[in-house]
Amino acid sequence: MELEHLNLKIPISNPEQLKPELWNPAFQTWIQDQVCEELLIDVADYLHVPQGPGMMLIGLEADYSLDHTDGRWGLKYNRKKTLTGDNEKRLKDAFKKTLSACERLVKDKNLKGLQFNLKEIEILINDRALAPNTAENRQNFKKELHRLLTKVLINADHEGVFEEDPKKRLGVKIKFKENIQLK
Amino acid sequence: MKVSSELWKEQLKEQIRPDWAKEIEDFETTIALRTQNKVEEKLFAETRLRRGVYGQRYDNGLRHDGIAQKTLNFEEKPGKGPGTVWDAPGMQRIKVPYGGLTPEQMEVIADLTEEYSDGIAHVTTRQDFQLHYIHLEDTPSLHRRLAAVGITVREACGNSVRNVTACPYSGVCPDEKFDITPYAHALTYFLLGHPDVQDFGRKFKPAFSGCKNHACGLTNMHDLGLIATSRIVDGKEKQGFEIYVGGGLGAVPHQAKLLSDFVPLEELLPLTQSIARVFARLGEKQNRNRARLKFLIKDLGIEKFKELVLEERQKLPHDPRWTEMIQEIQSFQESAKRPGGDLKNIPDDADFKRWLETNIRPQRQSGYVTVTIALPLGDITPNQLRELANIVRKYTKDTIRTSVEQNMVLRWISKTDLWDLYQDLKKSQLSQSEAGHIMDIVACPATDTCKLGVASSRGLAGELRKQLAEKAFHMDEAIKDLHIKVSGCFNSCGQQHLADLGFYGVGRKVGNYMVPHFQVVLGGQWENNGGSYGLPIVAIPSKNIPAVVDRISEKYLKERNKQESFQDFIKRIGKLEVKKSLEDLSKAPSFEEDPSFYNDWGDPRVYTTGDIGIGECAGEVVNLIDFDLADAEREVFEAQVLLDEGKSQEAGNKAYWAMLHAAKGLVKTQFLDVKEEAEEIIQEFRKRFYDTELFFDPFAKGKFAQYLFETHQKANQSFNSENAHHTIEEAQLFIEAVHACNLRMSQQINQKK
Repeated sequence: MELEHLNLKIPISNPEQLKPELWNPAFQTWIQDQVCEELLIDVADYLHVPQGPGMMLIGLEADYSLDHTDGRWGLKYNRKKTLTGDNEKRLKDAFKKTLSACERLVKDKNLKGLQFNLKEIEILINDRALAPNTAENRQNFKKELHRLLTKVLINADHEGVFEEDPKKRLGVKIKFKENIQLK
Repeated sequence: MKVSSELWKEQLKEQIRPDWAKEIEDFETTIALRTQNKVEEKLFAETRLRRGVYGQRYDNGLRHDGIAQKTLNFEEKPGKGPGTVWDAPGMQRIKVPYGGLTPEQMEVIADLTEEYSDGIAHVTTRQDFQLHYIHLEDTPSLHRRLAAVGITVREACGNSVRNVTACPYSGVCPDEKFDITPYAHALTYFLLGHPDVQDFGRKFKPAFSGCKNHACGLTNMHDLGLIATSRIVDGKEKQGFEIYVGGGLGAVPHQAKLLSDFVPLEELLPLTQSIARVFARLGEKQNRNRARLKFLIKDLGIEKFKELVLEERQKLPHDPRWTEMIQEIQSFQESAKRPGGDLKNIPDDADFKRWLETNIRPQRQSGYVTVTIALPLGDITPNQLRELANIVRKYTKDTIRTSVEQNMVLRWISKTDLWDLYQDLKKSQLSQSEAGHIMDIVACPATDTCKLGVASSRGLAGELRKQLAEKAFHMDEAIKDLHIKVSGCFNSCGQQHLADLGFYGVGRKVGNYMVPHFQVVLGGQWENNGGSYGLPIVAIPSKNIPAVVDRISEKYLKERNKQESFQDFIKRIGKLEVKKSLEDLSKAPSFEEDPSFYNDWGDPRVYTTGDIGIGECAGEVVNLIDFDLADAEREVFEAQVLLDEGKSQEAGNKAYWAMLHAAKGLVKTQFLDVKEEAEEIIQEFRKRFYDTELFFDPFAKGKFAQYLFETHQKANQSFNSENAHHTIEEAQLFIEAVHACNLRMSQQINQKK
């Protein structure tokens, strides 16, 4: 199973304090300063759509967003260009990008008080050709993910709940015992 | 190429119509050739536009970030159109003929939205879907996945026949003459890829309406407007269409003119074909600002245009599809899935009751209604689309329509199901009331994604929705019934000329700064298929537009005569009076007093018009022969690939057809109706270009034509690697000679001018 296009989402732990509209100027400064290795292009505001992609920072290789698609606010990293290397490198890269983004947002003085729940993450394979959401693939992904998380994270003890609707993308919501920390 | 692209190609090959599969494959090859600089940039741009692959804001690699204009560091590659960076994400328009969709198609659009775009599917004012921030490399897979469920993106943009739109209530509307759905379907597929619609100087938009008085079809603002009608012939009622031509909005809107008050059904396709031929032949090609049909009709006069169309009709070679397609009418008869009835014991739920008032329309079939799903700014998420697909399956026989008001319409809903349906829609957050009312604002994408956007129409529309929603509880019904439409520039994609309150974006300099403004457009008529167009009266800073809406609507409420419509009220008090009442709102405070006026809605950057680019609405003017030559070049390239794979026979045949297609392109400059038959192409080419020596190179004379004739004589030959190789070389030389001949002919025409 090739993890070419991963989506990672880390939930916000204090959504009651969230002011989604403030993420627009925050993302604009990311573009001004081109803070990532990835090319950042524009901000798209979809806050008017219920349970939508929220506020998006559109990039060439990947998008970052204040996502609300599953009814929970969180930072989502959506890799659009193919992730290179083997699966371990791909997952590690995606984790790095996501965690760096969370860190940057927490430090943003205009988003004061923002907190992420680093004990949880959602991982989706955003490619129905490579990873259709079948029972067999769920089983394979479970094994592969267990292997990869052990290699990538300091403490990978986790429990995962897989998306079982075959029309939705192959994905899992994971709870860790400790905060996510890359090796 | 991505691994998944190959997988989709393989997985879907049995599910795609062969001709559509070929088109997608050709497009994929053309993309590859462009990366190698083997396809001219302008030609590539028009080729991708004709597959709905559209440029987007910042694709010139420049963006003003609020401080300065910055270069976006895209990798240096050949452009995908003049001034357009290869890797810059773009928009994919998905044509949805007459807005009709099945649940399966909705689910595929949901999947594509998730996997390739920014996660929002956007319904347009012409019943299409648009996905934004798409990577060019993903488009062939996207096209295949759509084609596998019966959707083609062919001719979704560019100088072609755009989506055929139609009233979403056709077949169920109590006021229609008859159901126009089968005719919209027939016209769509008759014109799709038709040789007579490939050589336009600009786009051509058709629209159908089942009646004259409602707004749903907006036939008056279309290049071709078709309204269902009937007349008594020999004591029997005969169905047909009133045909209008030359309508259009844009910077200077034109009302369509009546071409014929009755055209029988069997004449619909041939007459449209004749109109297309006259437009292709006489329409402006060089000056894109005067290239729409409306200008040709203005120049010729409607009577002369009509005369030319009728003359053309007489010359048309018969096409059996004219009547065959009409005979398929029965297959379009929609019916109910569930037994009809009445809604009894209406639950005491205020939101439900309001939804019943605003989103439900009666059908002519007793016991059934239509239900409008109001989408905020035309946007819907993939999850909502999938859930809606299940709702469509549950309550209807698998059909739904998009509307020109950027909503979706369920038909054949049993009244007995309304409460359950409402609950299901509510779970998916699709039960918003106020469909077609003041809060249901239509807006084009403008500065969010469009290269031409001057001010943020979606930002303004979103703000107006928010503010109006807060006041909705106390709002008078007369105000609730008004229509607001917003465009980000004068090009009218938001149809502001047809609204009660229309707005379009303009920039104004205040001191040393630019301030986003909107022109206030009043006097438009939504009813009667867009019966009259409003005019701009004053430019107001964008941040004052909510106050403009309040002030005008309050004035209307206070000063109107009993039952006076908004349009009649404006007419009576006069635009000067309205303008005066807005005078104080037309001035922006200085930057120091209120800097918020110097940002646009939903955009914290200091406002600038520096991001405006060159639009692609007009497409690129490419002569018909350029397409044939591009096809020929692609084929000769494919022949090389086949030869490399050891498939000599296929390689030789492919090279032979590459020559034939190049020759056909040349023949079409004189004789458009040449058939896709080798013998006819050869005969016509010989007669018109060889015997006349038009094709003769000043030095090589007729040498390259001989390559074609000789290969044709041996058409059934066996190819080995050697003679296939020769044929490929000869084909390449022949294609070059066609290019040269075409160039000589163009130079001669220019010299004569």
